[in-house]
Amino acid sequence: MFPANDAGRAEPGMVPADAVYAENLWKRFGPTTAVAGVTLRIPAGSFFGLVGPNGAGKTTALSMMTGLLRPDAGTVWISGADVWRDPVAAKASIGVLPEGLRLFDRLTGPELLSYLGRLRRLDREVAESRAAELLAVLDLAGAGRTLIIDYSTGMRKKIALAAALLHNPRVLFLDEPFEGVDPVSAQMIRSVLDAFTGTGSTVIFSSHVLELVESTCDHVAVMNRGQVLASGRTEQIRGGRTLQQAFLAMVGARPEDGSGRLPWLGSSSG
Amino acid sequence: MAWLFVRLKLRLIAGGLRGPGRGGRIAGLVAALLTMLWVVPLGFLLLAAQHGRAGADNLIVLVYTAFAVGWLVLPLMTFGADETLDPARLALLPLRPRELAGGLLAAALTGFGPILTVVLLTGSMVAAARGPVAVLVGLAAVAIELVICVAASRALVTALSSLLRSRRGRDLGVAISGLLVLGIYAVTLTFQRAAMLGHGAAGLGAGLAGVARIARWAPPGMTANAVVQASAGRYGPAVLELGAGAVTAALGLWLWLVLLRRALETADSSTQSAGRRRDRRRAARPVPAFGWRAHPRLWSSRALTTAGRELRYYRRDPRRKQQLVSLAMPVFIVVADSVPGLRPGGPGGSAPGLPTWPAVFAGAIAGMFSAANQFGLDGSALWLTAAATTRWQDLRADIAGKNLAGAVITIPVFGLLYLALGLWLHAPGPAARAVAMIVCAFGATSGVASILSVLNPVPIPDRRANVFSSPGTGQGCLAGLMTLAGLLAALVLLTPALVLTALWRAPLLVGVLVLGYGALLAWAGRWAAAVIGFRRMPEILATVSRPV
Repeated sequence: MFPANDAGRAEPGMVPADAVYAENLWKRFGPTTAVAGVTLRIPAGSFFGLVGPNGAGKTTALSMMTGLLRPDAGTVWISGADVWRDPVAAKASIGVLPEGLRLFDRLTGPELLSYLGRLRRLDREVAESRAAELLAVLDLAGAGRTLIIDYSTGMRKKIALAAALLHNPRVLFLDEPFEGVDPVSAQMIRSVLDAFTGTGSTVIFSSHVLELVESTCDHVAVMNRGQVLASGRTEQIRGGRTLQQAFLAMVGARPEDGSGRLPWLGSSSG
Repeated sequence: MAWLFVRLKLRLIAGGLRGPGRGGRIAGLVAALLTMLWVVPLGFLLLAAQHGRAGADNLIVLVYTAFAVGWLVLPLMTFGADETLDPARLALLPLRPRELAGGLLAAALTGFGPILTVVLLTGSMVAAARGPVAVLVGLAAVAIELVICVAASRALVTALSSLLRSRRGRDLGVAISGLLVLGIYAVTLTFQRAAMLGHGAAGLGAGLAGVARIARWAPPGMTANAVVQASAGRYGPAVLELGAGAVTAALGLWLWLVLLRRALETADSSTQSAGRRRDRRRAARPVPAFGWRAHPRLWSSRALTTAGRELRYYRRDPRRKQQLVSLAMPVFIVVADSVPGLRPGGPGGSAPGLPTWPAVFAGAIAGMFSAANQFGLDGSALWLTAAATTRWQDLRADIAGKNLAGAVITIPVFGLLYLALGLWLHAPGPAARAVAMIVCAFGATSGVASILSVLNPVPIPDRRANVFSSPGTGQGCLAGLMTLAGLLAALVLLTPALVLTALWRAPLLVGVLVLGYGALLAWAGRWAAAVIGFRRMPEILATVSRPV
């Protein structure tokens, strides 16, 4: 199951150094099986990329790991706490930036952070100073009284990231954090995430931009059709190729580049 | 080109009828056939049967005016539902405005609405026309009226299209549609009361004749009146009035063409970024606030946190604003059933004081208002709360906050209403009893509705798709049944309080007991809803996040 897993960690069960350990997760939606037996080991302090084509089950797997979607079978431990048996410990230690950025979008950015700070039972002074700092670092302080519904995509991603970081989680789950984000905002998000993992915290993010994953992540898992094809250190998964080549080989895409097809396309023909 | 647009429209109608799954497809087809084969001919016959009756002359004027108004108003409320009407979708095609206008006109003339319009206009024409000349004038009047309707409707939509595509414009549309529904309700209630109090049909007829007298001077009414004039043998005025209608139709088409040309050449304001607007606003306060800054205990209270967010939503979310507008309905009913002159049974017939049942009704509506489908209203943003929900007590606090926000809005409205009624009718005791009953009914209904909203959360479509955001296709009926079941269950639970107030004449003690009973029901409902809902949280989240 783990062709490229770290040596010495092959035995099943939670290892203390793991930030997240998911064992044999299954999820069916009607006739389709979205996730078919996913087992993942995510070491603490890693910048972990989950890659796969559209419909591979990345979002479903991440939703089950964060306790927002009940798995049909399987177990998830986060920092040693079972997500579905001990939600108090598990939910306190994770931050989530889900796909689609569904927020309470009739609040302003500062209001959203203040609301979440209170729901997370943070101290008032702590919540307010953290919110102010996050807004400043992510360049959202100027948005002031604008409702989130009027934010641009990049601003929405940034306020969602601020919401995920507010309670200082140990593990951060990000679903497609860079999709639809301009380069300036993307760089801002990356620098925040780099600083976050630098302190020993863990980031797991899904993406299908392989160049980005290759340059950012020290660990990678490749998913296709609800299963993990490979998981481990990025250089092991690559095996000397680019991640793109390794990925296409694993997913079984045809290597041809499309030349020779659509002969009518282009200015040389009529 | 026009034929292509007609085919596109037909394809879109077919796609729209085809609901999700096979059942939806068949249901859509059956509904369409029923409408076309049953409702439309029936409407035609009902109108045509007025031929020779006294009111037929007024009828045709009223029908023509009503259709013109309908064509102006309806597209504003359903904008975005018809892709062939939105010029922005076609702006990239290499078409000249005139070609595009021809195509859009053809598309606008295709569909159930235009068929219904033509059939019913013809029906009222049959009712009013006497003699072959009048029928000829009538056929021309139908054609002219149809063009007036379509051109005016298209011109208005085109003029407002960029506004309607912006967030603020759509929010406005939602608020207006809420007021419109309320207005229709008020008119219905007035007529119903008039009929109950015995001066119905004659007064109604006189009122409509008055409306028709004014409507005759507007272009749709003028076009209709041409038929009446021709029937009476006044051919000169008939031709003049028909000509006025034709000029209006031509003006409408011309205006639409001009607006279309402009819409294709100017930038779409809905694609501008929010950043531009931001500069005009005040900069953020250095420290974000979410109310209740005074005390650490208040800051950390989850119920108050949720209530604060809910109250903000009542102010900012058009869906909630529509709910607020709908609160006027129970206010109408309370007034209509409490003031002696309006109450059925005559001024002297009913018992003095204030009847209890409007208070029960108002309290129940208020309870439903604050608790029904509360997770569906959160929508997919519920995950934010769910990610911070670790114990069932958290969920109970959330529900309490939502109920509290609803109570803060509704209870003062009805309290003040009954205070005014009590002072006006010199019945302070019954008024106080009614307020106690409102609070009790609020408690019972909000408790029941909270349980229902965890058992059967109903997803609400994204408001961006349509300004009317009711539960999704096929869900509306189930949601309605659940609401009805909830009201019945609450009524059963309220029986002891009703019996107590009816039998025992110790106002203070009864008031305290009734209030306590209501609080108990609310508490029990919240408790049960939280215990059930906490276990079902992922399922609730999955249901309300589903796109509909």
